[in-house]
Amino acid sequence: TNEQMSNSSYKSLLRNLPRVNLQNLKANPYAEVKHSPNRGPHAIGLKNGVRPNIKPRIGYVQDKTPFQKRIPKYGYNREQHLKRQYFPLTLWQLQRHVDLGRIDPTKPVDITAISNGRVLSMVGSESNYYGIYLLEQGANIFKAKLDIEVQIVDELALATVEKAGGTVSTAFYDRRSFVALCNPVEYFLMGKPIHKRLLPPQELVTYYTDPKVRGYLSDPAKIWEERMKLAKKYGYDLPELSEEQKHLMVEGKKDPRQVFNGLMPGSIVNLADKTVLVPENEHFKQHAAM
Amino acid sequence: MKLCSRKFVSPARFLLQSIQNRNSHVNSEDFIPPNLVMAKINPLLHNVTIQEVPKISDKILVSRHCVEKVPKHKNAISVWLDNLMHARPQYNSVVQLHPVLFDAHPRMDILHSVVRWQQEYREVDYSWSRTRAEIGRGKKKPWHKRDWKSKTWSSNSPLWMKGGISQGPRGPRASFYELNPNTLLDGLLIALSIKHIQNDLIIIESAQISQDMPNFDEYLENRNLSETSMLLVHAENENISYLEQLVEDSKFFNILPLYGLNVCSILKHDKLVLSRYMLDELEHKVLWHKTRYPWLGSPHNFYLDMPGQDNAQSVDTDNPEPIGETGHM
Repeated sequence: TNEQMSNSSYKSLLRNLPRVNLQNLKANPYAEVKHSPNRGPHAIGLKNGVRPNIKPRIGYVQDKTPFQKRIPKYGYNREQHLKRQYFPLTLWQLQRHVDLGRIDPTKPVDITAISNGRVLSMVGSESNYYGIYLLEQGANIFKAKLDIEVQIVDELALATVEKAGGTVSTAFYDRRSFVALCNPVEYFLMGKPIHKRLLPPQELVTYYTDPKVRGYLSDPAKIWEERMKLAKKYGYDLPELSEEQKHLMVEGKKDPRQVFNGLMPGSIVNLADKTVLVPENEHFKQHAAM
Repeated sequence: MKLCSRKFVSPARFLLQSIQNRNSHVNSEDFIPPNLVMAKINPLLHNVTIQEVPKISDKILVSRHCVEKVPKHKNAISVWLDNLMHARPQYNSVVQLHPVLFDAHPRMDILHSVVRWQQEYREVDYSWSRTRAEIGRGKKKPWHKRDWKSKTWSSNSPLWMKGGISQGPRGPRASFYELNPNTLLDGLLIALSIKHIQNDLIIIESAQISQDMPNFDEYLENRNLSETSMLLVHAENENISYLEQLVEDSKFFNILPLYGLNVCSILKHDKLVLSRYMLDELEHKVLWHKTRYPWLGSPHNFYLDMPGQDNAQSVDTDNPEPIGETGHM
């Protein structure tokens, strides 16, 4: 029996030593021990006989204007609340997770697929994250055939995915839709009818109507031309797409005002009974129409 | 090993004894020093013959295979199958154990932290001492200003005898803390694998015994288990009523269902006896936890989401609230 176990000198030692008991165990002598902050040479409170609640406020300087007031203001962080951030996703990461089996290459790869496969942890992110940025690092080893939908794409990343036989498209999701897609179960448990996805803001319209980036608001015919141009530029043969992929490129995509594929806005998902409730009233139908 | 309980010997007498015993080891063949604490069975003294356990070859019948997938870099472990009904061990068949459970790397610091948690998280310290305000003797000034006595304002001050205690324990204090559930799981697996490494693992066919059971003392004697403590872990399906009757009065044999398995009990008993039917459930549970993804976001309360309860919010289908007018449904 002991031959079948993985070889380690630690285990052969244990075989000959006395039985491990509740009295034999010891703490790790090399472990870090946390000390309370009020004792020792770097004590936070009770230092020099002064209590911390008596000291003046942070930044206070006696008898002169403090440093932070002497220097004039300048708008370094002027429009920070209007900026958008994107999660970086490299091709190397994608390939690794496909190899591990966390991403299914037979199904379309969306924000939910990436979140469910624990590739990126996007749940609970700060309020200015709007999606995923597909980067080109790992282009020399990428071989997976995937249908991806991201928010921003690099040119080389586009070329590698299409060379491997997949398709890429970019789409805009507002903050609320992005949060809903990252953790759809929590969104459905709220019990509210599904909202309508917003259209991109003014500065992003030119990006998403551009066929070079495979934008979702662009002309599908022009996308076909751009694919051939890219192949010429980088020097590879364009592989043939299957009928499902062609269908996805033209008709099977989500509507620009739809959040979840197959679910219309205005409907409610009942997870307990596993049903979808669709509005019958005309007023609601009009309001929810895309 | 027990701490040795010796009578007190004065230093002078100890020296005398050591001088007397110093030359005795030269001539005797089985010399045992007087300060050595021995285990109860010593083959040198008692002439006990230990039965040799035969090695497991490839041709032996395997009566139980692993239920879950075995990782590629590890092999399943085979162990002899025993039976409570047989008086003597018949080495007929073999059982396969999963390596994730019984071949874990034996990290002693994890074991220690788990054992310490098990013993400490339930503790509540009820000690409470009175401060100067709670003594209940009043605020009277003991004496007024005099030249030959120190200043005093109250006889309850901590400087005084029978006065209050200023920095003492204040009321029930719980030493509850949570350990990472992954370390708790690892601790269990390490305890199980240590039992296998040190040959303290016995696997029996089932804990169900028929009424005409052979002599239990004979059973233990034939396997040199007459004074070792044993813990039998069984599945919930099994009917242990006859076993319980047998084992009611013995201090050395304890019975435990699967859901009560814990590290302290495993290490407290010398031998661990597992019933075959329990192994499937154990494997399934452990590997589910080992191969699961972490929570997306924070774990939510399932009891609030269940249908048909008072907690769940019900939706009126006859008079639905319009979309978008109110902030919430």
